Amino acid sequence: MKEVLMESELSILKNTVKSFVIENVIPAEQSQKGYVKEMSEIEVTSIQQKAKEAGLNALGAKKDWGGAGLPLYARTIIYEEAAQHRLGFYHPAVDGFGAELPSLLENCSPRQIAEYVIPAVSQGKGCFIALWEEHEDNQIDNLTCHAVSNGDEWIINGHKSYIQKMDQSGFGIILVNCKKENDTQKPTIFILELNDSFEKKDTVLIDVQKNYNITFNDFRIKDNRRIGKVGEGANLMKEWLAESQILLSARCLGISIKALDYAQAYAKMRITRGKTLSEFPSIRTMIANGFVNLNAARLMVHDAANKIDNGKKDGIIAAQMAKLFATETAAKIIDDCLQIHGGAGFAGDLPIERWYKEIRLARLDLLKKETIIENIARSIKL
Amino acid sequence: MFNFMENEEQQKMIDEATEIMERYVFPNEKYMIPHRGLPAEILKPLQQIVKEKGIWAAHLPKEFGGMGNGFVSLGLLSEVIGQSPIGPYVFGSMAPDAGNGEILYHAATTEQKEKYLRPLANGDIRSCFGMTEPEVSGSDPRTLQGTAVMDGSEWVINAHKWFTTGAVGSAFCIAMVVTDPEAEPHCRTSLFIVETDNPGFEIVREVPVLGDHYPGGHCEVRFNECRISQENMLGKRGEGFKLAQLRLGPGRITHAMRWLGVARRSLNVMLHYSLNKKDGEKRLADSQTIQNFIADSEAEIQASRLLTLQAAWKMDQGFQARKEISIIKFYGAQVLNNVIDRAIQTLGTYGLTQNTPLEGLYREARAARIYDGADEVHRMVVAKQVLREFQKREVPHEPAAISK
Repeated sequence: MKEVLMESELSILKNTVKSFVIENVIPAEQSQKGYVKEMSEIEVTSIQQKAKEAGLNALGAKKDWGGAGLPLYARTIIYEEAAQHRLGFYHPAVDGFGAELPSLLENCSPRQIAEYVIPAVSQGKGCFIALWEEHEDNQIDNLTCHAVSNGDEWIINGHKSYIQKMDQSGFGIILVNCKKENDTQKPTIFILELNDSFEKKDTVLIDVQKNYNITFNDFRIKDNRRIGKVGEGANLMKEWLAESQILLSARCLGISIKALDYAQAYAKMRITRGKTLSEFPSIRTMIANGFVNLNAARLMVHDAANKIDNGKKDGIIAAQMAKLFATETAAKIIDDCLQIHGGAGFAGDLPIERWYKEIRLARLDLLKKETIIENIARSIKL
Repeated sequence: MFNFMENEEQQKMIDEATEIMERYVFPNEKYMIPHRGLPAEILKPLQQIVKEKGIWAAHLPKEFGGMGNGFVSLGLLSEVIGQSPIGPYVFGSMAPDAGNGEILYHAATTEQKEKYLRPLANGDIRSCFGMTEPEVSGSDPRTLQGTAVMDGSEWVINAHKWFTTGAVGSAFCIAMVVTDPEAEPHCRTSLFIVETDNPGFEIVREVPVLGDHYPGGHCEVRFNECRISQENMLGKRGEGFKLAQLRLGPGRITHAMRWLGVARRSLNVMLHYSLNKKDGEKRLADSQTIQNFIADSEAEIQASRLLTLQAAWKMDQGFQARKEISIIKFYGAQVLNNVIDRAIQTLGTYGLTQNTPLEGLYREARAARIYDGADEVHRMVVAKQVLREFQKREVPHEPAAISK
């Protein structure tokens, strides 16, 4: 009975989010003039307020922190809906639900929770993650940014790249290798404050995503900013990675649905050589295949979310498999959708052009195919 | 006879162009402005260097300052200069001016040639081509809706076009519109030279697009009761479709060879990165996965290159090479996209930064599978031609085994 209730609750939640996107997000997006690349802060604040009223904020954050405490599975359903608009792939509901916080923050001390986590939740802000480095974007174990112990503080040197959504964050976390006397490197997580003295430089990836590189030159950080034990950082980050992979995959489902909607509508309308595009087997195959893969991707995403929610050991690898399949599926659907639209797909009047860039990024973001394939091979002891 | 070697003259041309690319073109790429190209003060002196070397405007005959080369030589040069988005501008053979130049050379009157082709060929002015319309399928130009109607001694054009590439900053537009709606589908349209300061010519907007390498944007334009004199018809009445095809055939050779330049450059970025960066303890170059990327890219580039040069050679022998042109159009465009994608995959997120040319090339490359005929159209052309060729031959039907 419990499961049935659960499903009906999820169904209500799904419809609530769908209505919210249709009634608030899409009109706000369409009210922007010209080629929409981002939403104004005023619009985002207004949407955040409405989302709060609808109970749609800080979805994954623990209830103790002021969040909704929803499990990952429920969030996959929410984000599949919330991604279904132009900016929705990397800014679901134009960030109106506030940013997702990594569950590894549960390892924070009560003082850290009070000082960083709770204020961020109440302001709808997130936590930026300084993990990847410029060239070693897939190897958590090979990071070069390091910290040396100095009394009750650590001295950090090195750089971090490709940090997303720094502007929307209340604070951040960084993974560095702590060097102890015996020279073993122990990956460890520390909290960063926005006004900490690191060099910050913004860049734009593939003409669509603003992100940051930060550099540390003998940056001193108190040991009381550490999260978890020294040496525990890599494993904690892997949990964050799995959660993020699942949420990214859920958003892939959302934009895939929208892209297929666009593809179908255009194929039925556009006439070439006396027939609608939808009558040509090449086009029918593109769209029908899209539906097959979308369904398979959704099953994988839900499976991975359930495994993580239930603490299953294979959750981490299931999340990677879901991420691989969902991003590849969305990439193919968006590519086909663009092809069906021809020049109109290459133009930014429709969101397909934006998604084409974002999905190329998503294929590399949070582990790329080659790394995941190797991890799967290892997981089956190959 | 088969000969896969460049002759002495071609080799000299390739060497000289390569030197200019390395000394002047690549180092200036960083000054490129999205949708605007190189600023004139940088571009003009570079063009002068190319002119002095005698490798300017390879698509045009010598009488208009070009090289007067055949298609194979044109293709070989395009491969070198296509490596950089600014290469064709520096070498005076960028789209859509190159195609417009070819139509003008073949169809324009002597006066039109002096007035429009000569300054265009010299790089003094730019031009655009107004064919594609938002309302109808670009894959079927017989469905165009824009019209030109005679009124006294003038033509009055009313049309709505988009993907009029390079319209901003162009001196004239070659417009393809319907003049004879009752004629056979292929004979309904005619071409007109419309000067862009004509009050009836309106640039509605630059359409925002995925790629940003074309100066002058991809524009939406309107011809509003646009009056032009009879003398500005280009070619004969009803020849629009035929003349537009004229620019597309050679254009596809230069496109396909430019794509190979881009693919080769992307592969070079991949090779350099994989030799210098480690994935854990190993160099990326020692990973079999990366080696597969390299081998597949090399094989595809070689295949596409031979297909393209063969098509060019056939055209030099006077064949139309319609099937061959269609093969390189869809196959070459896919190779281009595949190789850049593999290069980005090798570099990881770094490949999406502006530290390498890959992300810009990737965005621009997607259009190759659409413009000048989408993949699906060219596959259809190839399949139909192959079926026709098969039907022409008598193929004896033999059972695969002897039944007892």
